[in-house]
Amino acid sequence: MSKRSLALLLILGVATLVGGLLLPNWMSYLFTIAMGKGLVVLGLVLLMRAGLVSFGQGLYYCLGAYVAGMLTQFAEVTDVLLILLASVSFSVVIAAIIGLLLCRYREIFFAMFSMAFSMILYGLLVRNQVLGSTDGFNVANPSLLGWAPGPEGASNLVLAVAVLLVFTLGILAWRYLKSLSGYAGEAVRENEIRLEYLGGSVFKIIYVKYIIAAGLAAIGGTVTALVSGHVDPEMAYWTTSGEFVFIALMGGTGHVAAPIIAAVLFESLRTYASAVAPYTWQMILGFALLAIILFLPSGLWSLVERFQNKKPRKAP
Amino acid sequence: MKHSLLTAATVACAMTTGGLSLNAYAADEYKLGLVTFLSGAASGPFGIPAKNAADLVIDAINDGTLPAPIKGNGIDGRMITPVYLDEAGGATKQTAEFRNLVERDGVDAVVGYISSGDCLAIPSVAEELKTLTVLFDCGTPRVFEEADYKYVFRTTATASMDNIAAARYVHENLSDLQTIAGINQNYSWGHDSWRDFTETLKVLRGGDIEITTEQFPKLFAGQYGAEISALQVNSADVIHTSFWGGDTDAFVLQAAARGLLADNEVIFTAGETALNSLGEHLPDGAIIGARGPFGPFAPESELNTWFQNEFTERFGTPPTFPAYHMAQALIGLKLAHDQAGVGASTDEVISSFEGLEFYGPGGKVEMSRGKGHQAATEMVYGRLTRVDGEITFTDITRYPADCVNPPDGTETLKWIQSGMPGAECN
Amino acid sequence: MSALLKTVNLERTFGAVIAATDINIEINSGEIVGVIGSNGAGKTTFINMVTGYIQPSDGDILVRGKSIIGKSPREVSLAGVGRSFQIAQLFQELTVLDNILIAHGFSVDRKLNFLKPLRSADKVGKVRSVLREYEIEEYANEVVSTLPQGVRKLLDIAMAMLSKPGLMLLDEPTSGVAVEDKFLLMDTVMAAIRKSNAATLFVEHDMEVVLRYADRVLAFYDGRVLADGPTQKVLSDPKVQELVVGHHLDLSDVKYATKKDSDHA
Repeated sequence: MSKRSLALLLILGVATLVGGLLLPNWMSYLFTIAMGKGLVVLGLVLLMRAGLVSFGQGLYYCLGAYVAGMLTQFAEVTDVLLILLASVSFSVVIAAIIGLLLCRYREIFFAMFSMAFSMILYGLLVRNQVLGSTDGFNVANPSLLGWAPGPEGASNLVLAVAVLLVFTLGILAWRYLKSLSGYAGEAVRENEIRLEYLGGSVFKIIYVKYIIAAGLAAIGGTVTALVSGHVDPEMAYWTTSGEFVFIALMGGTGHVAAPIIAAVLFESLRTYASAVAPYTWQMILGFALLAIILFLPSGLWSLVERFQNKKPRKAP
Repeated sequence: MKHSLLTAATVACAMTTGGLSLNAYAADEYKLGLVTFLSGAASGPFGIPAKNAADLVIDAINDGTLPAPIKGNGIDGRMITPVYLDEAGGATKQTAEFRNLVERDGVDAVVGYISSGDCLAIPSVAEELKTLTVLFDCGTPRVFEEADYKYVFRTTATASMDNIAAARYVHENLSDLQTIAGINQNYSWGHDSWRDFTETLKVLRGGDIEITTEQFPKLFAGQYGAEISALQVNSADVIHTSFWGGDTDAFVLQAAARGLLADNEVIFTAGETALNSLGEHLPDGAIIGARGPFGPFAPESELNTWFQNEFTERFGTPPTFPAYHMAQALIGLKLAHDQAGVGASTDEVISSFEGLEFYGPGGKVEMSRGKGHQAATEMVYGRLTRVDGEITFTDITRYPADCVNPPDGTETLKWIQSGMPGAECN
Repeated sequence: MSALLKTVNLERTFGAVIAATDINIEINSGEIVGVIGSNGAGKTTFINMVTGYIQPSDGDILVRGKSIIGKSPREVSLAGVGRSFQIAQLFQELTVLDNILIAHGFSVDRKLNFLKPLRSADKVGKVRSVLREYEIEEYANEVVSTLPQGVRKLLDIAMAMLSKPGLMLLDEPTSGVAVEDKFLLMDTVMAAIRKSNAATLFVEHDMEVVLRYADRVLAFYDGRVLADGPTQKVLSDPKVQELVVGHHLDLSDVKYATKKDSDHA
C-alpha cells in the first residue's frame, strides 16, 4: 500500500475516533455497536466471496461476548487486550474443530449446518442457570493496561478500541483480499474442480477462511459485550446470524469498507424506524431489504463502483 | 482506494448531521419513556394491555380524573407526554434504545420492561445516565437481590411470591397431597418458577413430596402433545404451570381436548390473562393466579372500580394483570412526585419513592424490599367456578406480602431453603 | 529411465458395464499421442483415471515410475500431470489475467500467502508473457464469461501448462471451436507444448487434427485399445477405419504440422 494511502487512512482513522468521541453519547454508542457488528459481517463477507453463506456467525459472536463477560464478572479480568486475546483464541479453537466437519459442505448444507451449531450454543446457554439462562448477565467495565476509566469513560474506551480494530483489521482484510488467499476464495466460488486440478486444496482454503471469520465474529462480540454491558443467549440465536447476513447483503461484498458502512446504516435505520414507527419498525427494515434485493442486488457498495465506472461484481 | 475512503468519510458526515438534529421539546412537558412489547409474542397478552392501561392512566392523570386520594393534573405540574418504544429486539438493543430515550429524546423518566432479560440489563445504564426508571412487569427477583440501585424502582412484586404462594395454596387446600408434576417454559422464568414452587413445598411438607414428571417445552412451542402424554402417564395430585400468553392458550386447548384438565388439579400461576379468551375451556376447580391482587382478585375500591369500568369501556375487554402493573407503576411514580413536591429534583423524588406505601387499582403496594426500591404486595389464588354461566372464584386465599415475599436483603432460594424465617402469614 | 506414463492391465467397470479393460500402454517424454474412439469407447474413462478423477477397478497407473492409485486429482496434478477440459473450466466471472494469476499462484508458487498482493508487477509480467505465448494477451482484462470459446480453451490449456507438467492431457481441445480456427488453436498449443517437451495425450474427434498433430494414435473401441502405433499406420488400419473412424480417410493430402513449420503465425 502506498505511503500516501496509508497516511490518508491514518488521518481518517483519527478523524473517525475524534468524531466518535464528540458525538452525543447515544450516537457514539450506536456507532460502537455498529462497528462491532461490522467486524462480524466483514468475516461473513470473506466467506461469501468464496460462495458460502454462513447463518451461524452468531455462534462466535456470542462466544466472544460471553468470554468477555465471564472474564470480567467471574475472573475479574477487565483489560481489553487480554479479553480480546482470550475471546479470539477460544473462538479460533472452536472454529478449528467445527470447521473440520463444516467446511466439507456447501451452499444450503453449509448454511443450515452453521445455523445448527449456533443454535446448539443457544440451547446450552439457555439451560445453564449459572450464566443466567435466557436473562444473560451483566459485563463489568473494561480497563486498558491498568487504566480503569470507570462507567463514564468505559464507552469511550471501547469506542476507541473499536475504531482501532476496524481500521487495522480493515487494512489487513484489504490486503488479504488482494493476496492469493483472497483470490482463492473467488476461485472456489467460481470453479472448485479447476482449483483442485491446479493443485489447490479447496478444503484448506475454506477452512482457513472459516477460522478467520470466526475470529472476527468473536472480536465483534467482545466489542458489543463491553460497550453494552450485557450478554445474553439471544446473540447465538439464528435471527442474530440472519441480521449479519442482512447487513452483508445491504453492503455487498465489493470492499472491506462495505460491511462497516452497511452496519452503521443498518443500526441507524433500525433506531429511526423504532422511533418513527414503534409498531411496525420491522416492516421498514423488511422493505429496505426488499428494495436492496430488487434494485441493488450487489449491495450498496455497487453504487460506489458505479461512480468509479467499475464493472459491478457478480451478486453473491 | 482513495475514492472509497472519501466515500466512507462522506457517509459518516451525513450520518452525524442527520443525527444531531435533536428533537425539540417543550419545557412544560413531562416526557415519559414507555417501554413495552408492541410486537412479537409477548405483545398480545402483555405489551398491548399494558400500553392501553398507560394511555388510560396517563390521560386520567393529565385530566385529573383519577379517584381520590390521587389529585392534581399531570406529574410534577407538567402534562405527561408518552414516548413509546417497542421492547422487542433483545437486551443489547434495549440498552441502546434506553440511551436514545434519555439522550436523544430527553425523557424525564422511563417506565417499562416486561422481559426479565431487559430488567437485568437496563438498571446499570439507568444508573450511568442518572435517569429515574420504574420497572413495571418483569418477574425476576435477581434485579434487587444481586445489586442495589439508586435510580431504579420496581412497583411490582417479584415472581418469587407467585410460586411460594402457589406452594402454600396447594399445601393447604389439597388434602392428601403427595405428588406434583410440572410443565413450564424452558427458560429462566419457567425454571425459576418451578424451582421456587418445589423448594417451598419441600419445606412445607418436611421433604415429603414426590415429583412425578417435570416438562420444559421450548418457549412458544405451541404443540404440547408429548408433554400432555407424559403428564397423563405420570399423573400427580397437582400440575404446576407458569405458562403465559399464547403458550397458556395452546396448552389449555390441547389439554382440555385430551381430558387432562378434567382429570387433574392444575395451578396456573399466571393464568389470569387467559380467562377472557379461554375461560370456557378451563374446568371448574382450576387454580388461577394473577401475579398479585389483580383482575378478579383486586380488592374492592373506588380506584379499582374506576379502572375496570374505564378500561373495559375504552378497550372492550377487562384489564388483566399487565394492565394493572402499568397502572400501579404510573400511579406510584405520580405519588412519589406529589410527595416530593412540584419542581423537586430527581434525588428528592427518589427519596419520596423509597419505602413509599400507596394504593393502586390492585390494592396496597409497599416499596419495602430492595432498600426501598422493590415492591411487595399480597398474592392471591382462587379456584375457578361458574355461577349462572359467569366465571367467578371460590376458595380465594390472600397471602399477605410478608408471608410470600422474601424479606429485604435475602435471596429467594436461600430464604425458602432455610424455612422462610420471618414469614408472617395469618 | 522409466516411461513417463505407464498403465498395467488397467480396468474400470461400473457394475456390469465394462468401461475400460486391458489397457497397457507406455508414453515417453516428447511424444504427442492422439486418442480416438467413438463415445462410450473408453477414452474419457481412461483420461479420468490417469488424472485421478476416478479410481480404476483393477490394474495400475505409474507416473514416472510411481503409482498414482488412490491419489486425488489434486495430488495427481502435483505429481506432474496436467489436464485441460472439453468445456473450459475457468473462473468465469474473473478476468483472464486474474485466472492465470491464480493458476500461477497455485501451480507454480504453491504458497498460500495472506498479505502479499497477487497482482505484483513481477508476477503480472510473468503471466502476461504466457498469455502472449498463447496469443491471448489482448484479452487480459476481459471477464472470461464474455469471451469466445476458442480463447477460453487456450486459457484453459495455458493454465494447465503453467506448472510445466511432464504429462499433459488435452480433452478435445478443438471441440466447440469454429472449423477455421481449429488449426490456429492447435498450432499455438502445440508450439508451446513442444517447447516444454511434455508427453501429450489429446482426445480428438476431428481426424484432420489428429493426422496433422499426432505422432502416435491410440484407438479405443468397446473399452479396449484397438490399435496403438504411428498415426498413418493406425489410421489406415481397416479395422480402425471400420469401427472408429467410420469412413475412408484420404491420407495422401495431409500436411504434417509436426514435420513442417506452420503457415500460420
